[in-house]
Amino acid sequence: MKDMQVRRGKKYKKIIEAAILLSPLLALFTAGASADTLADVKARGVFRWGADAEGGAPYVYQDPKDPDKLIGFEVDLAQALAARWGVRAEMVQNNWDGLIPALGRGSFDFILNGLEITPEHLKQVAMSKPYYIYSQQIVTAKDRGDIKTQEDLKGKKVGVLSASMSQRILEKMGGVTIVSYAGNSEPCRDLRNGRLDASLMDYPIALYYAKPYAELKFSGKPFAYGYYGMGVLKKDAALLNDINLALDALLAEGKLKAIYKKWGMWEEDMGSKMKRYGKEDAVVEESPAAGLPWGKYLWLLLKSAVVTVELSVISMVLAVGLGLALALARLYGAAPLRWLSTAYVEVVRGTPLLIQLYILYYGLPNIGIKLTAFIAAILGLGMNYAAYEAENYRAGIQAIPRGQMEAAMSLGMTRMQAVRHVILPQAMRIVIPPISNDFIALFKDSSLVSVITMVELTKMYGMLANATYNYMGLGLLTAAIYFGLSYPASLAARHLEKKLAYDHR
Amino acid sequence: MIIVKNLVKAYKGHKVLDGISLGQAKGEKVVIIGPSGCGKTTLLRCLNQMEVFDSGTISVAGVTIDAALDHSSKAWKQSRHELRMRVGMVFQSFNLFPHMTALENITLAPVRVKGMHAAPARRLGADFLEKVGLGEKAGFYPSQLSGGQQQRVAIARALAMKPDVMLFDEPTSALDPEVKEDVLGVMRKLAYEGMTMLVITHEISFARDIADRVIFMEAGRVVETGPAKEIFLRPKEARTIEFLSKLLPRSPKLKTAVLVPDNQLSLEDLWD
Ligand SMILES: Nc1ncnc2c1ncn2[C@@H]1O[C@H](COP(=O)(O)OP(=O)(O)O)[C@@H](O)[C@H]1O
Ligand SMILES: [Mg+2]
Repeated sequence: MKDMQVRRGKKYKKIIEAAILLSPLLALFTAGASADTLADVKARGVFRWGADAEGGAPYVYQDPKDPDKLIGFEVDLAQALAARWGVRAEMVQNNWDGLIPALGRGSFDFILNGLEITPEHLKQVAMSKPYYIYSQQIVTAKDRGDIKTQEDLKGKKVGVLSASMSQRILEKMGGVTIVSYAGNSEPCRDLRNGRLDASLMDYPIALYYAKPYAELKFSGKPFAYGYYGMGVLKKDAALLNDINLALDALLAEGKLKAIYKKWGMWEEDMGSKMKRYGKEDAVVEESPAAGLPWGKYLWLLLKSAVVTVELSVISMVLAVGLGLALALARLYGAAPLRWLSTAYVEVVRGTPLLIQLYILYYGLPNIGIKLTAFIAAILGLGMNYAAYEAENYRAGIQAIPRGQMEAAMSLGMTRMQAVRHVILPQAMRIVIPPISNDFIALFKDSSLVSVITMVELTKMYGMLANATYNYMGLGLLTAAIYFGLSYPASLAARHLEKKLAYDHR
Repeated sequence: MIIVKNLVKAYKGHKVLDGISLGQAKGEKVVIIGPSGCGKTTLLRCLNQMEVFDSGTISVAGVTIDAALDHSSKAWKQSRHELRMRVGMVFQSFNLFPHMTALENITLAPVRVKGMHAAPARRLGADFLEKVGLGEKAGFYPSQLSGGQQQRVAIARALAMKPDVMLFDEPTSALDPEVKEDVLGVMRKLAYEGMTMLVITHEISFARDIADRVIFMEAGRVVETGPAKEIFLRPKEARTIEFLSKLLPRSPKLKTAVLVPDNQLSLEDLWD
């Protein structure tokens, strides 16, 4: 008894120690959240602005000539603010999707990264006056004459940046086949190789990503203008006020104009439009996904779960079939086959699935093979997992005692007959557990195919969470759907394993 | 029925079979004895072409294989297949197919190799199970059978292919003493029916009963060969004597036999 008490005492002590260690951190966190950020900034002599430099041209991105250096019109703007306040500016890298939650966690003082002034964003954060007025630009292939206005996009296949204003405008309009991309260069690539009829993008993005290509053109005038503003925590009224004053001054002094001229983004009426901000409505589309009843979210998630299941099942069938062929070629094939199979397995296992998907979807069109996203996804997942299944089969087959093959062959069976009737049926029982594990892994890995525009369960979650900022609730719901699908699969695998067992002792 | 000429088989330069020659007539029963590692198993594996050999010739039931033949040729593959069809092999470790019942183990090759239909194959399988005394066990999986029963199924499986020669590689050495006799009984019956048998075994009483001839091997060579009576009672070679005296240290009569070359014992006297 005594011993037990001593041990328990130690355990409590550990917890208390941990709490003491953590308390300065907690204090920091709460202090940061309650004090005046502006005063903080001035005291620190530096402000931290949150942005995503990955694929962020021309906003914030790595200088191609000097990748250590960040450039972009927002970098220039941050410098101008810093000069004005007499402090330094420090960029904090954060995934674009996660900028608002990160601001809430105190990772930086404000967001400066193409954040549109929309009712949704205003629900989450306070927003400054606009620092830029963007509009939507339709981009098509040079020889397309049939698409000039927003209306012309109806019935067409149009690429957009995922969760962007462009996407929302098209969703709202309806009748458009929307293909949403994780980055900006991919839709341009698909425009050039003919997978898309058009792409709709924010004007600055179009300037940077589409303009350089001779095969692409801007179709029609920009439309549906809107505002970029800086995002500030709602309680940071003083900081917000200072940002607004600074912006007014930069506009009046012509410094904003200078920055945008430098980047080729200035339009003559921009100054007057900025001054009229608040008096005239810009086009601000809320995502149609925001504010729906829960049943609707569930329905959307379940529908995309069907895509996930389709992808996983078809890819796994491919993986299991191709993997078997690879394993047999490696174990029983002639020398060149053996060599090829080994090389395939090693190369595929030694390279990331993501790269393989990119090559299949974006690389192959260069040599004239244009796969649909669904086919590319299935080939990518299936061919990738085939390498792992091949190794499972190989291990399974090699676990069968040599005597089995010899007994079969001494009865006059050919090698292939022996493999078919004696070796494989036994190896199958060995490989079912690892293969069913792999199936569950593939089921989860299938979310990677969102990079080639497939909208499956995780992508749908990302889209809905982006529109609603309900990362937690929707996240739990999505996780529950994944679990609800994978758990029965593992139960079924266990059942199959038992059923196949022939050790009846 | 079996002719082996100058058979040589080496693993990485080490000669495991170093010029073996032997002959065996139809219906003859030959027992091979010899210390562990002397190449007995390798000889049998060459005889049913589980192992390619380096030089020499083997010929079984009219099918001849010469080491000089091109091993990638169709002709070679064809003769190898024909040879295996004429030779039945029983392994030390049974090697039954664990995912099949006793009956399925027997019918697999007749169906897949000879193209027999399922129903006659099942009747054939049942007959052979009956023959080895396991008519009741048709639906049992190997894991549900004792070692002795498994080995009898393995014998039935080989017999069902109607071979001309049966090769046995220490068929009882993995078995408990109580069940050895069941397997040896089946083999005795087979011998009595006139099967040509080449058996590696150290069951001297069994060898005494069925062997027309005994071959003593050592270090990849045939040291001495002759009728069971000669080899067991009046061995000529010192190495044979040494081996036999080690073989049954608790059999005083065998010791007497081999250590006193001019003894007057008969084979029957060898056992208590
Ligand atoms: N696959 C192999 N590779 C290398 N050496 C082998 C192989 N098989 C057998 N040997 C060697 O050949 C010799 C004869 O083996 P074996 O024919 O099994 O002897 P026995 O059956 O008489 O005990 C042994 O020394 C053994 O180590
Ligand atoms: Mg052996």
